[in-house]
Amino acid sequence: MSSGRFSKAAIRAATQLTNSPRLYHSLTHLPPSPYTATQIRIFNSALNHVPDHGFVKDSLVLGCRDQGYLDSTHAVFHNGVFDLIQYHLYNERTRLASLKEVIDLEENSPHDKARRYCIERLKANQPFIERWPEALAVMGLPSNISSSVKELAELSDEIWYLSGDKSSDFDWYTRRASLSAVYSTTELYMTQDNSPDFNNTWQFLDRQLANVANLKTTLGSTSTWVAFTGMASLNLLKSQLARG
Amino acid sequence: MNSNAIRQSQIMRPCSRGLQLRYKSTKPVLDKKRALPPLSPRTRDFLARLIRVDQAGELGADLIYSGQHAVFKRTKPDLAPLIAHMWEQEVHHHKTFNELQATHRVRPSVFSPLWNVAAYGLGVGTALLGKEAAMACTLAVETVIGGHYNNQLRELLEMIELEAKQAEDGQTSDELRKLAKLISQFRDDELEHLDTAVENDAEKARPYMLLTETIKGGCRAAVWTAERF
Repeated sequence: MSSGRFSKAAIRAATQLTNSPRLYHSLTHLPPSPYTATQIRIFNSALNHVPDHGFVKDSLVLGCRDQGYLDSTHAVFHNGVFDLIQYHLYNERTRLASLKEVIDLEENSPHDKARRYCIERLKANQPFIERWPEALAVMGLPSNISSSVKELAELSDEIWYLSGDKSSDFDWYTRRASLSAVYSTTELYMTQDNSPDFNNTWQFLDRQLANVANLKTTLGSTSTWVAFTGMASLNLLKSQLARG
Repeated sequence: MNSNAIRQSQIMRPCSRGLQLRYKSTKPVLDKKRALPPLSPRTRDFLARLIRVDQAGELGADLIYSGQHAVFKRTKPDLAPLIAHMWEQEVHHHKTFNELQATHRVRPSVFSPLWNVAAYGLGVGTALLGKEAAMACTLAVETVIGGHYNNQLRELLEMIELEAKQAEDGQTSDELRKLAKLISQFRDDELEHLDTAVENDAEKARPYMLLTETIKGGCRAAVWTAERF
């Protein structure tokens, strides 16, 4: 992994996190789904056509046709195929919450849980993995990039929230930024992976996560060293002053 | 108007003649299963700010007392237990808001490393100036925080009423009411600290006005920043 890419993605995710107004999440007043039942049916049908046709307008048109609507109905989706991609991203992100019971039982540490959620999320791209670079290209268009980065930030927040992360200081930001960077690079790696069952991708993911963990230990021990040296010099100064 | 709507729906109805395709309407279907309506974005934004700024504030209070305690346990051991008592309450407040921040998925203040250093420095600094200065610091901080909690409480109660009006059956969950109760309890704790400070010669600090007004100004600036960032 080139470090340039890593830091750029991390910085982008971090700035996005501070800019986006994160709203209060109520446990009893649940927010409504942004999609109507009709839209969901059309999108799901359209996604079935993606392996053959790719992330293009044709898939949306075929989706509309499958559900018994006029071909021109696809025009109600103002952003065209990007709406379909966003639906897939939203749908797979919110699906992760339904896996919480199983993952809580099978994995122990928040780190292992986060890794597992990443794998489960990446597996959702599997049906059209050969077409996924097309989706990434659409997501990277200037008009779409801010929504795409926001979605990535939401995903890493979702993963840490489900993994039971309770960080309450600046760590909150570093965790989310580093997971966003890891996830996006692994997603890209997966599109080029020909190994059986994507074994290479999971190994790649583990290496990326280990890198981040290393970085954290380095940061942690640096701050411990600074604090220790500070205290030691203060004590030295005090003893010198006391001697007069 | 009404008959117009009926005619419209007749036109839109799919035709079923022979082998012609049937087209459906793209009109959204409302989901009526949910008992509690979602909170308005304004309320959610307000609550996110509330939790973020209060978490940062309690982190600050926790560290101010920890800084003062670190000094007084050496210089004035008779004063240390009093500071320790107030410190304990602030630790409890801080922990409560940390939990609220995690469960309600509010992002913490970006400047938390800065609040860490500034608050501990303020605690140690005022304690080194002496008992009166430390108490004047408590007085200044708790005056601002007490007023701040009161403002929040007023707005929160208004929001609860508004949400109840908007709900179909006038029902709201306990979630917001519990939060209001918690804040009023914390405000009482803070005002108790204010009284303690006055009883312990806070007003004898010299220069009193300069010290308290500077700290109050700093607190207000920190509140403004932590609400937003």
